[in-house]
Amino acid sequence: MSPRRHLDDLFSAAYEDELSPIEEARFHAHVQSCAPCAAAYAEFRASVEALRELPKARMPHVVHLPSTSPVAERPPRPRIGLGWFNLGVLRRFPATAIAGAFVVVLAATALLHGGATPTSTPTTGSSSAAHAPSATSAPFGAAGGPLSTASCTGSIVSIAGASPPPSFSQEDLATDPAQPAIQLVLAAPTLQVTSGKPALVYAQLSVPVTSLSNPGTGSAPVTSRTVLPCVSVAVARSSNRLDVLPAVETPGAEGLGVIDGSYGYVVSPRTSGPLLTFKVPAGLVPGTELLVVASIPAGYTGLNSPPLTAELTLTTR
Amino acid sequence: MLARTLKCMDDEALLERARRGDRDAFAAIVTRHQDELYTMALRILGTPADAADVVQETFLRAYVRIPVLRGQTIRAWLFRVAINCSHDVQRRSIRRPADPLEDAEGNIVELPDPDLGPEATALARERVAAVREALLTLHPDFRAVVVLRDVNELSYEEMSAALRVPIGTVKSRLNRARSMLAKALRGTAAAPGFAEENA
Repeated sequence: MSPRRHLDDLFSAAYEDELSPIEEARFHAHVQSCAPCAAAYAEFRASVEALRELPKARMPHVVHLPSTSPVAERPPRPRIGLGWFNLGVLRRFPATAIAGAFVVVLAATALLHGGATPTSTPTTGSSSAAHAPSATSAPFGAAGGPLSTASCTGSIVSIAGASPPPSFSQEDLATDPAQPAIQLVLAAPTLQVTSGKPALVYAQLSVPVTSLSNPGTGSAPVTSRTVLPCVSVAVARSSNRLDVLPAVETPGAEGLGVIDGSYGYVVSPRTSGPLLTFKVPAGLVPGTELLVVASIPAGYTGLNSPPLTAELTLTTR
Repeated sequence: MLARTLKCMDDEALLERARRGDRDAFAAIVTRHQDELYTMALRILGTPADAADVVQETFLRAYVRIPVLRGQTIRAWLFRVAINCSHDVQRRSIRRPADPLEDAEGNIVELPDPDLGPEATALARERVAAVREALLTLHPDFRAVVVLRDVNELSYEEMSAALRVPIGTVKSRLNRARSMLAKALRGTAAAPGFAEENA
């Protein structure tokens, strides 16, 4: 490593007085003895100071706000209680109630006789129920139950210090404000993709986990576990409409992903890492936008945890 | 009286009042942050009309999102939304050169010092123009980081929240952005020694 390159990396920290005393002494000693580095640092300082001297601007007109109150109106949550079910419906709509009971019996019978086959595949039309964790499911989407289908299982892989590859410069990050250490990261090496070619994204939720400490040691060690989030990809066909990608398989790709035609999810296999490859549809005109969304449903990382969503907009060349 | 009271409140208190439906509290947030957001958008986009649109859009989004804005500073969140809006504008429109006449019509707060001589004033204007042009040559991500730090003077923590990247990434990106800017300013009026060489 050349000393010049090393100093380039320290310019900002030197300008902000953030170098340690040892680094600072080494930096100034080098700058005094190396003319190119001294010139480069002078240029660096001058440009930052010129930028800081730019005049402040003033908003040229008044910001228009809606005339309504800033608090959005929320419809009251319907209360579902046994009293309402038993009395209200039966009394006012007896025929509907009986028909409803009949449907429930039919559904239960169907489930008992064939609904539990392990080879069942997800079908269109039940997306919202499939995305959200059930009330009794454990955090991190424990295996089993309806969540273990191709929607949002969130498989767990124990790793430490996970982060996107250095070349993935495009990044979106979502955190739970109550637990900032929990981070959902969606990253890509570039926002430009080519129609008909594979595209690569990185998506994972990092969750710090404190394990039991060894006897005689101090604090418990903190490791990091990752959850692979649901990743959906949709293509903007027109200005206001997003078309979910059709089912596409990407055989042979590392971190193989399959886009489920029903929901547009790229679902990573449980053993794969956070890298996902999907094929950009052929025939897209340059400038077409693909919205990539990584999502973790509410309640996935703990009781009352909010849903997390990270987004990247890719554009075709 | 109420306006003065609101002016003295911090962002969190204003946000809490706005959540309860106080429109004046939200207006106070707008008044407090609109100019810095406009400055940021202007330096990123280079076009006053687009920058004003970004600020308008940012506050409209904030207005709708107030009930769910928790656990983060409103300032960093506003910058984050404004950056996203700016990127949207950049993607949508072909870059137009900045119109210096619009800046001269009262949008710039700090005009060059009138005590400076005509040559120094001209040089100062030339420096400003050079920096503005150099900024527009940077990739949007690098432009955003350098503007947030050196124009808007955000802390690393605020920048991390606004850009949604870790602080380490903020610092490394900032170092690269400043180096790129220095390179873009070579030979311009903002380069070191330019005034002496052209005296």
